[in-house]
Amino acid sequence: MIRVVVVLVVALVAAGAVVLLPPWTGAVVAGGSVVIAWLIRRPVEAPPPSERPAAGRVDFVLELRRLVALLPEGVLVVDDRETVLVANPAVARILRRPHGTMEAVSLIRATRDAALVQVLREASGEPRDLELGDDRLVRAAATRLDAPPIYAVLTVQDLTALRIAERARSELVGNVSHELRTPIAAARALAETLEAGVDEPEQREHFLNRLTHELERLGEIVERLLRLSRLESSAEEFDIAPIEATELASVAIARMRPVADRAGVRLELHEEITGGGGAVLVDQERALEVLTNLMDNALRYAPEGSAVTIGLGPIGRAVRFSVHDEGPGILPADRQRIFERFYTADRARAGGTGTGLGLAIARHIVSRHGGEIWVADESPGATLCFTMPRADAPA
Amino acid sequence: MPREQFQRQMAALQDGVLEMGSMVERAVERAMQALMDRDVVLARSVIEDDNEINAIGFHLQNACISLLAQQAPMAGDLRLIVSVTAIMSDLERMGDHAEGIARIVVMMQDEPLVKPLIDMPLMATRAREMLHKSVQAFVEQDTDAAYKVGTSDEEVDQLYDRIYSDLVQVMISDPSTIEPSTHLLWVAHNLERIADRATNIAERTVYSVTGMLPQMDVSSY
Repeated sequence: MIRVVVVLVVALVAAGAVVLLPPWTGAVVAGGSVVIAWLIRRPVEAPPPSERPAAGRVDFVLELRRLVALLPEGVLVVDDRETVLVANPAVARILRRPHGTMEAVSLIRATRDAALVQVLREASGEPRDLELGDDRLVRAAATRLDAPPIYAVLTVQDLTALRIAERARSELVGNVSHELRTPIAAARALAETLEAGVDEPEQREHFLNRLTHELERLGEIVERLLRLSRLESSAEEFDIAPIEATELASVAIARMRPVADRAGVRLELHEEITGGGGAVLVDQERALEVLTNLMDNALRYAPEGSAVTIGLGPIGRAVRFSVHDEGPGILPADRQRIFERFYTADRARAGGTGTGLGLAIARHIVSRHGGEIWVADESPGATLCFTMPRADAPA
Repeated sequence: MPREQFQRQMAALQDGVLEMGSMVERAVERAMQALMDRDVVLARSVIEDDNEINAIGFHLQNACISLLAQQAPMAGDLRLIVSVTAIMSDLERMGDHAEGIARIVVMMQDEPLVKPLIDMPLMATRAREMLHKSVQAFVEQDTDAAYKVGTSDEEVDQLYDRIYSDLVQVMISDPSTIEPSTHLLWVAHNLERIADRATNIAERTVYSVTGMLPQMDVSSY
C-alpha cells in the first residue's frame, strides 16, 4: 500500500506542476496527494474486507471526488474498464467538456480524445504534451494504482497560457537582438573604416559623427528597455500632483520645438474648451514623457510644412489628450499593436528611425495613472489619444 | 449472453468510433501542421501513425462482425452496427487522406510555396470540424447536429473552388510553378474528400436513428 501512496504522489506531481506553476499550486497538489494517500491507506486500518459494508467503496470514491474537486489540475480517476469514477471540475474546464457528463462513462466518452486514452493505457507515469486544437496545449500523465476500484489516475495540466508567455518571451528576445544588431553592425563597419585609415580629416569627422550617432542610438534603446522594464515591474515610485493640462501640453510643445523645427513641422495646441479640461493628477515628468513620445512619433510621419496638433478636452472624469499628424495614417490592423514593444506598424511609415519602444513606454505610464491610450478611428492622418485622471474628479 | 453485456458491447462500438474519429482528427491536424511548418519529420510520423488508425478500424470491424453473428440484432441495434461498419471505413479513408497530405509534405521537402496558404488552413479547420461534429452527432445519435454537418460541406466546396482557381491562375502565369501548384492542389483535394466523408458519417447518423439514408452530399467533385 505504501507503494501505491508513493505512486499517487508521483502521479499528481509528475506533470511538472511544481516547476511550471506558481509555488502555491505545488503545495496544493502535494497537499492533495497526502490526503488522497491517507484515503487510500485507510482500508488497511479498517476492518477486514469481509466485515466491511459494500457501501464503503462508494464512500471512498465520494471522498476522493470531494478532494480532487479542489485541485487546480485536471484529475480523472478510472477503473479497470476505463470507466471514469471521478472527474474534477478542472479537467472539464481544461478539456472543454460539460462536467456533468464526464463521470460513469468510458474515458473516451468523457474526454473525446483518443490521445488521452492512449496515455492512460500506457500508464507510464511519464508526462506527455498533447495539442488539443484551437492552439491549446496540455500535459497529461497517467499512473496505474491498482487499488480497486481505482485502476489508474490521469492528470491533465493546461499549458496554453505558459506557451503563450513563452512565445512572447522568445519574440521579445528576438526583437531585442534584431534591434540591437542594426546599430552594432553599423558602428562596427564605421570603426573598421576608421581603423583602416581615412586620410581626409573632413571624412574622418563625418565617420566619427556617424559612429557617435549609432552608439547614441544603441544607448537609447538600452536605456528605454530599462525604463520599460522598471515600469513593468512597477519598481518606480510615481510623484502624483495636480497640474493644469494646458500647462503640461505647453511644456511638452516647448521641449519638442527644436525637433519640430528641424523637421519643418508646426506644433499647434488646440483646446476643445477654454482651459483644456482643467487640472490632471499626474506624475509631471512621466506625463510629459507620454506627450513627447507621442509627439516624437507624430513628427516622424508628418510631411514637411504640415502641422502636428495637440488636442485637449474633458472626457468623463478624465482629460483626453490627442496628438494628430497629417502623415500616412495607421492601418486598422496595426492600431492595437503599435503599443507593443518593437512594433513599428509599417516600415514605410516608420522610416526606420524609432526605437519601437516609445509607445510601449507611453502605454505603461498611462496605465499606471489609470488612464487609457488608443488610436482614434480618424483619417486622413493619424490621431493617438490618451486620458489622465482629472484633479477635481471624485476618486 | 445477457442484455446488459450486449448493451456494453454496443457502447464499446461507439467508443471505438469516438476513439478512431479523434485519432483521424489529430492526424489531419498534424498533417496540416507539417505542411505549414514544412516539417518532414512530423509528416513522417503522421504517415507511420496511420497504421494505428487502420488497426483500430480492423478491431472495430471484427467487433461488429462478431456482434452480428452472435446476437442477430434487430431494428435499431442492427442499424447501429451496420452504421459503425460504414463509418469505420469512412474514418479509415479519412485517415488515408491525412496520410496523403503528409506524403505530399514529404514529397515537397523544402520546395517553396507558390502562394501563401490562406484558404487552405481555413479549409482544413472546417473539414476537421465537420469530422469532429459528425462523429459526435453519431455517438449522441443527434440527427439535428448531423444535418448541420451537411450544410458545412458547401463552405468547404467553395473554399476548394477558390483554391483551385487561384492555383490554376498561378500555373497559367508561370508554368514553372505547375509541379509545386499541383502538390498544393492535391492537399486541397484530400481536404475536400475528408469533408465529403464527414458528410457520409452525418448521413449514416440519420440512417442509424431513422432508418432512412438522406442524401446530403451535393458535392460536384
